[in-house]
This record gives sequence, structure tokens and C-alpha cells, in this order.
Amino acid sequence: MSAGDGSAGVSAASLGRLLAAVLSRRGADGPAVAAPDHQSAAGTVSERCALISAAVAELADRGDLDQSSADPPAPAASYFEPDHRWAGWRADDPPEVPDTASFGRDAVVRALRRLPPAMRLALVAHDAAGIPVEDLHELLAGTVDQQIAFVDTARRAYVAALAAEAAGAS
Amino acid sequence: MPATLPDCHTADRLLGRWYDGQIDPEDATLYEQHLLQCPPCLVENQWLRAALHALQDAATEGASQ
Amino acid sequence: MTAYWKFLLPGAVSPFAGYRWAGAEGAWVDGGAVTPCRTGIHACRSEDLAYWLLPELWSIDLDGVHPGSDADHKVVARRGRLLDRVGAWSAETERELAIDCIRRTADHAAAELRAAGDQAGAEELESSRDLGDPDRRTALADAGAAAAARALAAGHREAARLALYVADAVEYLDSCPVATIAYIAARAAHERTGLDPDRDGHDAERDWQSRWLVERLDLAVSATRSEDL
Repeated sequence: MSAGDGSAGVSAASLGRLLAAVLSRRGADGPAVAAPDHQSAAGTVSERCALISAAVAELADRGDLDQSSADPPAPAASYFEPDHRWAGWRADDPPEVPDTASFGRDAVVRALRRLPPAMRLALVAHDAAGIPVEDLHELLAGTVDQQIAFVDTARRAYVAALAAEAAGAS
Repeated sequence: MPATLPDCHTADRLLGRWYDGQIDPEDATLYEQHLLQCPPCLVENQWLRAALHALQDAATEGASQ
Repeated sequence: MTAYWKFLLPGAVSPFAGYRWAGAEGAWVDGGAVTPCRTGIHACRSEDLAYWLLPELWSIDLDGVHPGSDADHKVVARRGRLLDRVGAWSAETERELAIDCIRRTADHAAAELRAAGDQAGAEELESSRDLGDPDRRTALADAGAAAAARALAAGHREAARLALYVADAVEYLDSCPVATIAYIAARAAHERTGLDPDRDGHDAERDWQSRWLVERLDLAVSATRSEDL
């Protein structure tokens, strides 16, 4: 089940099956935002979390779940010093405007593979499968606030990884 | 810092919640105004939206295979 | 009919949703079609133009304005349709506004320097009016930096900061959008000392900028909020 290049980790096919299994249990209207009672036509949040957990466990059993990260998460932005007149403002040059043409499925999968497993799981669960942050405790440990912060960190790491993939492709 | 003058650090904290529609309308306005004043934060916003849309498209594509 | 306005990115693209209005001019667009998680079509009245500066300005018709949505310098409606692009709002008029905002920043800094006892520094900033010339702008930035150094040495931190805003505004003119320069001017106004504490300098400066846009672009003035109800 590994990628054709022989490297360990979640292959595109494995991730596709994982996402397909989850999405076959959710609505088809784009990124889902759970109804107030967390019930959707695709099943309850708990059901979707259980499905993801089972799929991740299966991938782990097959040795397809990469337990290491190729790159560390993206560093936080740097800001001007507290006594600077623009304290709290970015001291970085603006990044390049994203070229979305290079954001194909393969680039997305390679970017996800750069993330630590927990971040990868949080991102797929929240932003691909639409599981609300307050329900991520069914997959990951921590309080709701910790989950919110963790999803933020996972998103930033993913964006940085995708930017690196896009830069490598150009 | 007065509420009328959000900075990048504040905007960074609001980005994720803004994207998820989970912030107060007043905070959303302040965040959006900051983006127009601050090219780096606007590009960060564009990157997040583009990257997450790509993830969602990849997920949908995976489901159709 | 109340006049509403909408700033967009080039190509009539919404800055925060990426929605492409091009091709939809004159057709009603439902708020849910733009971004499902947001609350509708966003626009603004003429008095709030300064808060939303972008390269394209359009008049927009709104239907179903949400009551109370105008508390944050914008209005939100159930649906909207783009009417006409304001051709007078161009790269050239953006530049005009930005340069006038630099002058305003210099005036605010000059007032603060004068209050701190630097009459000569204040007059030097106030005398720099021909800012279409790059050399004059550079001279203004240098004057601001020099005045800031003097003010800082004398312990006048507020005056020093506003004087440096002048240098910042000049530096960012070519690399940042007009919204950045307008913000620097609003921030300078906000940080003036010795003014009426009940008067918000930031809001007053934004009012000035919005009036500049209405007059320079010959825009219809929006009805007052109560007339929308």
C-alpha cells in the first residue's frame, strides 16, 4: 500500500480510501459544518470519528501510517519588538501569492505526509471530513481550546508544506 | 491596543476562527479591515483558503475514485 | 434608492471569499452562493468607503439588508447585484489619495512636534506639499526621521513616533496598497495627544478619507442608517 517510490507513509491510494470511506458517510455539499445537534445525513459526528479511528488503525496495522515527520511544523511569524512603533505587526516580507494551479491532489498528499501523524489526522478530520473542533477529542486528547490551537498549528504546518511542494514543482 | 487598530498578531489569532465562521461579527470586520491594510496578512489568508480548498478538493476527488 | 458601494480585487473578485463577480453584473447574487458560512453580501455606505479600499469600486444594489448589520462600517444583505464600476477610481486616483494621506500624516506629526517644542521640525513637515515628486517625498521622509531623533532625544516619544509614521508612509507608498497609507494616517490621527478625549481621531480621519472619495469620485452619498429600515 505504500507509494510507488517505495517510501513509507500514507500513500495517495491509502489516503484516498480513508477519505472516501469518511466521505461516503457525509453529505456531498462541500466542507461540512456540523448541524447544531451534530447530526447530518451522513451519520453522527461520533460515527464519523469512529470510522476515521478505525481507518487510521487499519493503516497503522498495515504499516502504512508514517509515524515520523519529514519536516518540522512551520515556524510562527516574526513580529516587531514590543517597544517598536509597529509592535505586534509582522516583521516579515509578505509571502508569494499562492499559485493554486500547482495545488493538485498529489501535492496535497505529499504536503500531508510532511506533517506529524497527529497533525495530519487533525487536519483531515477537521478540514476534509468536517468534524467540528469541539468533537476532535474523540480522536485526539486535550481540551477544546487545545484542539483549536492544535488545528491552527496543523493548518499552518500544512500551508507551509504545500508551499514547499508548490515551490519544488515550479 | 484600541479595538479600532488590530495588528498582525491579533489577525493571526483570528485567522482560523474567521475561516471557520466562529468569531463575532465585530471581530470579523476588524480582521478583514486589517487584511486590506496589511499585504502579508492578506496573503496568509489567501494561502490558508487556497490550501484548505485544495485539501477539500482532494478529499472529494478521492471519494469519487 | 440608497447608494451602496463595494470594493473588489482586480477582476471583480471578492477579497475574502474569492468569489468572482465578473460576468454576474446586473444579476442578483444570493449571499449563500458567495460563501455559505458567511452571513450574506457585504457592502458599505459612502461614509465607510475608507475602511474597505481595494483596486475596484462598484456601485451595488442590495436586497434584504440585515437590520443592525451596519454597526461595523459595512452592511450585510441577503442578496446583491453589481451595477456599475466607478471608472474614476483608478491607479491614478489611488495614488492621489495615498499622497494626500501622507500629507495628513505629516500634518498630524507636525502638530505633535509643535506641541513638543520643535517648531522648525513642524514647519519643515508642513511645508512639504508637492509630494508627486519622488525627491520631495524622500526629503519629507528624511525630515520626519530627523525630527523623530530630536524628539526622542528630548523625551517626546509620541512626537517621535508620529514623525516616524511620516517616513513609514513615504516608504510604503510604492510597495503597499493605498489602504496601508490610509491606515497610517488614521493611526497618526488616533495617537495625537492634547485633543478632545471624546473625539476619536481614528474615526475622524476615516471620515475625512471617505469624504475625499465621495468628492473626488463624484459619488452619491448614501442615505442615513435610519432610512434603510
